[in-house]
Amino acid sequence: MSDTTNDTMCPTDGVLHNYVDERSELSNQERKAIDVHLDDCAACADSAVELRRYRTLLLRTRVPGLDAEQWQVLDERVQMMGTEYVPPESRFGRVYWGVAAMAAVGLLAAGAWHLLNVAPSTASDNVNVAKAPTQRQRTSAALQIGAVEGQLQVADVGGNWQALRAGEELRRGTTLRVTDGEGRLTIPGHARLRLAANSEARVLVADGHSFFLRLRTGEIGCQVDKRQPGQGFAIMAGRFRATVVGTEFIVRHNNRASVTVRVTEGAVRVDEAEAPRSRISETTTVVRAGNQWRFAGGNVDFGPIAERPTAPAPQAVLKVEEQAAPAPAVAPVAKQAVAPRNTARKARPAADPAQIEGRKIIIHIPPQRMPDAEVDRLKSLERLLFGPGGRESREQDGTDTAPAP
Amino acid sequence: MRSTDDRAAQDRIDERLVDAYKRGNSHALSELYRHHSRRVESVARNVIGPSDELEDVVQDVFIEVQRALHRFRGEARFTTWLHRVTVNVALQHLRKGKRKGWLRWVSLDRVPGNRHAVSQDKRIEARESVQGLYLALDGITDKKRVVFTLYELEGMSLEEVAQAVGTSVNTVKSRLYHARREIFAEVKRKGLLPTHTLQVIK
Repeated sequence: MSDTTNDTMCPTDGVLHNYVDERSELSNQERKAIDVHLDDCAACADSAVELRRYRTLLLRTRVPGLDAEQWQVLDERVQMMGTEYVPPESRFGRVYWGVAAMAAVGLLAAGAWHLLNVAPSTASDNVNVAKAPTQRQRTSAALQIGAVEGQLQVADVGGNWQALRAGEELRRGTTLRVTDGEGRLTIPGHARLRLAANSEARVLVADGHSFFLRLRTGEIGCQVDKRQPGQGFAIMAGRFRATVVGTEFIVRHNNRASVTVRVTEGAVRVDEAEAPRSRISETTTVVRAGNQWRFAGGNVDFGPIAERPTAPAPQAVLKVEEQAAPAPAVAPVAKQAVAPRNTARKARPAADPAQIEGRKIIIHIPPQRMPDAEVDRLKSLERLLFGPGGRESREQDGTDTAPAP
Repeated sequence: MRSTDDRAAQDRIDERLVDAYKRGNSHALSELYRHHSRRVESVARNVIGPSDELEDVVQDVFIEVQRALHRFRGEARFTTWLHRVTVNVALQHLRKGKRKGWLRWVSLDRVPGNRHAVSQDKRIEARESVQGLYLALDGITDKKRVVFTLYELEGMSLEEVAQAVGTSVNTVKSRLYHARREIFAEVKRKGLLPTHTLQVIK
């Protein structure tokens, strides 16, 4: 204390900065001593007032962060980069590659030039994430449009609408619309799109890896080419996002009032793109061929497409229920397919043991037509939640019996 | 204290997820991303400043996490380790640029104003003050600026800042002291201090 302030000596700049900083390490005693000093010293009191104004400036200074749309794109990019485990490079591996490198040098000396082209791979080479294009590459990237049919229009730099022609480029920020009739376009390597009348969409990402579109209003039909690992295709509409797992689907966005996703072939993952990071997994639904997902009036409906009554495809449903609640009867698949309203909102974060305590988790995995990848994902989730013994304990409860096909 | 309990609960979740990832469960990394992406974005943007490349930096952080998580031994908290990775990745981005400084990517026109200011005059004044602060931040060294922004804007404690930048608490105090003096002097010289003060209860 004696080196900082006393009744006769003014506090240093640093001490005054700490004095106005509520989080600083100054003790109450030191603060009181400065208070007393400020009562008597006009110069220090003025300095303290200036420093308080300065802190006011700091408190209202904020560096702009990502907006909702950028978060959506980032989520997709992280999904696409893959989250596989990257094993550490073993000591044996390092020795092995050391020997291999020495051998390569020897071979080089011997003039085996063709071996120069063989680069040994490392563990990190197995990560496909590094191949994902960067933001700068995405911003400059563009996709050339294939065939165009109908009345498709594109906004130019000045915001004027012009007819879209084959061979033109789609890039981030390009806005498309159809006012009358319908418009179709082919994006080589990605999809064939059909925009219905009065539809407008903006391109978020358009490159060889990914194609993300925001449907502002109207309806878009998508016939998506087979995806390679790391390739993404998604349509954002309102708060929601439909990501391709399969191939053919329609997204309808009624000017913020409702969003509909109909899947005619393959499967599509729908989630709430603007949900808090920790809740995204709760809001995810996989919609399979013959089914539709609809959000309207704050409620989610999920079931077979009305116009095309088909047998509902098996669905995976993750439900969290209170421990005290009676064990539910095993529901047939058809009933599960019509998801209860806001089921997703009632679910808890999947891997949060603190919130899972005192609750019972039921995972229905219908045995038929469930893709292997989906089964693996659910099993992996189950292992993560319960550990190796979790499934057996639930089977003893009799609550995890999958419905008969 | 509830916040301590929350922190302990989050630490336990992180621990489980890291273990699950090391056992080969690829779902665990997605969960870590969901739990921590907001925090990573916040730390990264305070280190690199206003930037169009924030998306890239956050993605690069999780690429680095994926590559390096097997080296995390659990001796420190996962969030501490993650902050360190974030700061390192963000600083690498800063160093890669041709033009150094905090405002290398965007013009001052895009500096946000104060949304809560009641009058147009107040809004303009607030905007000018923030622009002045940005310029002052642009003028100090990376080392001082990182410590300053993590403490003052991100709200980390001195210990957390020290762990995130990989130095001692005393070094952080010293850098913070110099950064505060330089920035305060610059803002005062330009006459950009607000005309009022806010009392904040933390």
